[in-house]
Amino acid sequence: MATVRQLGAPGGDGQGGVVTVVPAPSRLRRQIRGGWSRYLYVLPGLLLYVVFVLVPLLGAFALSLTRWSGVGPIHFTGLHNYASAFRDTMVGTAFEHTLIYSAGTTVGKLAIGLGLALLADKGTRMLAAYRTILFIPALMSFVAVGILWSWLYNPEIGLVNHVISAFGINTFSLTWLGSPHQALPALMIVEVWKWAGYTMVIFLAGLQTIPRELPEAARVDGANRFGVFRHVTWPLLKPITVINLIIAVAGSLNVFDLVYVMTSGGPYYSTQTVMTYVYQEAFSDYNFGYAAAIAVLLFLFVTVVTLLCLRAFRSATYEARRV
Amino acid sequence: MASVPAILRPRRRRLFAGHPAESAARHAMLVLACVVSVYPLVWMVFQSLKSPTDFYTNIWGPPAHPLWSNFTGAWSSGDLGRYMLNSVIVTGSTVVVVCALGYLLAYGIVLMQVRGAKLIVGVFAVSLFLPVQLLLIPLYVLESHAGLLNNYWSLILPYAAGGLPFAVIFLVAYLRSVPREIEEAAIVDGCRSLQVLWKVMVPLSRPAFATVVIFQFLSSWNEFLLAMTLVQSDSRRTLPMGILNFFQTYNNTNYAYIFAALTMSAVPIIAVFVVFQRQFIGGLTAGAVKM
Repeated sequence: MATVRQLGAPGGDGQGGVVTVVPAPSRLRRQIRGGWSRYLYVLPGLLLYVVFVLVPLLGAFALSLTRWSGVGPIHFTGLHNYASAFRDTMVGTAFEHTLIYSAGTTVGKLAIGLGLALLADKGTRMLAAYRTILFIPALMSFVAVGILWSWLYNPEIGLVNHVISAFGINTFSLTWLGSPHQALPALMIVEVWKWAGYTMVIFLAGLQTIPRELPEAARVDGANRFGVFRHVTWPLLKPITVINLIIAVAGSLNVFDLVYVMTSGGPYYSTQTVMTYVYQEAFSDYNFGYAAAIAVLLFLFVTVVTLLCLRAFRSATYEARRV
Repeated sequence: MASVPAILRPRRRRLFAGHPAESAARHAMLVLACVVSVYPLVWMVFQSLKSPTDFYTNIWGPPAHPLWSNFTGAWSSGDLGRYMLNSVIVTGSTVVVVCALGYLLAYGIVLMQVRGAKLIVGVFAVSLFLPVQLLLIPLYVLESHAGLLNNYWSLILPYAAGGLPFAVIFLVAYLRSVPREIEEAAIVDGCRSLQVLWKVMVPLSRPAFATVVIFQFLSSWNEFLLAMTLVQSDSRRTLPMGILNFFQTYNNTNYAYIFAALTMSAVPIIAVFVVFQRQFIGGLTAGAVKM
């Protein structure tokens, strides 16, 4: 291989003889690659990306510095929208709900997903069936899931209260989406229900990369089950945990569909999240500039949290890769 | 094998296979989890077949006398056929555009070695986490000024643009894993540059395409926020917005119709999943794990 490349190296061209009998593939590739024409491969995709992602991205930052109702003149107001956002109590409420929602559902998805993955990892014969069934909720749209669960939570004819009362618990006070105290937890349950199976499938993919000999060796060396998990499985699972963590955190901080369909932020703003507030400001009240500013704040927040997740686990990831 | 003392094998099995009672408990918990994930969906199908009286008296179980007419009624009164067709058109076109443009981009980056390849890959990697929520308002402004609102392209273009980063990153990783000798052999055998692409590399990349198609299919088929904002004419609405409309229309009249509509909207995607589940799970985990 090396000799062929040398034969066709630059400077060898046009000198005839042996050199041109075996032209180097690299030179051939260069001929075929052409000059500018190769940029035709990347041009259409880049154009689409620039117009529909990069321009709107810059547009979001630009809009956030203006006051604009969508029609008529645009007023440049500097950082005024951001200053208003920090004084707006609804922004505080929305961020608080979004944080609770995100933290709760992330813990729920990861704990249940990991638990199910550890349970299923050993029952190899039934594994495929469990995985298929548990994955199904992840396929459905949030709209379909939201409508279905609005019915499941129905206090009189919904399934949830009927299951709970079957255990002899009085469900009189469980009105779920109708109660300002229960609505947000109710939405969080749906989010976890939808994604726990997906989280489990990703954990399973991670568990299957762990060589069987490692936990077995630890058992032979006298570690108990928890010890094996704590010192062998968990460290090796860390990279996949980070992936699950980032998917769960980023997805839940941007929550919109489920809230919009099930409660529209109510009752009494008890499920108002950042994105439902942004949507309301933009498309009900036509404060495009202010809505863009809140969306930018959320984006910055998500970015910081994602980077923190990545950094917190980076050293652990390297360690796990080296094992 | 012979060097392993035979006495070790039965001992190992006892150590790691677990007690039968433990294995039963394990399966019981998994079955419970399966029931929790799937019973709501089974219930959805039950409800869709119930009569109005059945609906109030028989909450848990299957309908006493299945009313199949709920499905035909919901289908025709909710115009579900049109929403489904719109979803098929939008999702299908998005998948084709992402595969075509994404593959050309990845091909240009890996095999044509265009300048700035590193920059392109870097920008795409960063924008993997770019939420569509941030782009919503500017996209609305952009499309309303360009006269792009309320048609199929108003969704296809932003969906495809948003899907490109993942597709390109994944395809670049895949193409880098293909040995260079394959391309070189094709060139030596006389392939022109587009022939290398179409006759050699594209067929080789089929597994990578499967992942990209599944990712894009799922996210476009279920997308709601842009679909609601950028398309407001009823004739171009996609399925999620269509069934939400249907839900709001029938919420006080015919409950079973709502469940019939939900069932019909969920069945296609679950059916596709059950048929291609190996590819689905393989593709989605490969996509997540390779990120």
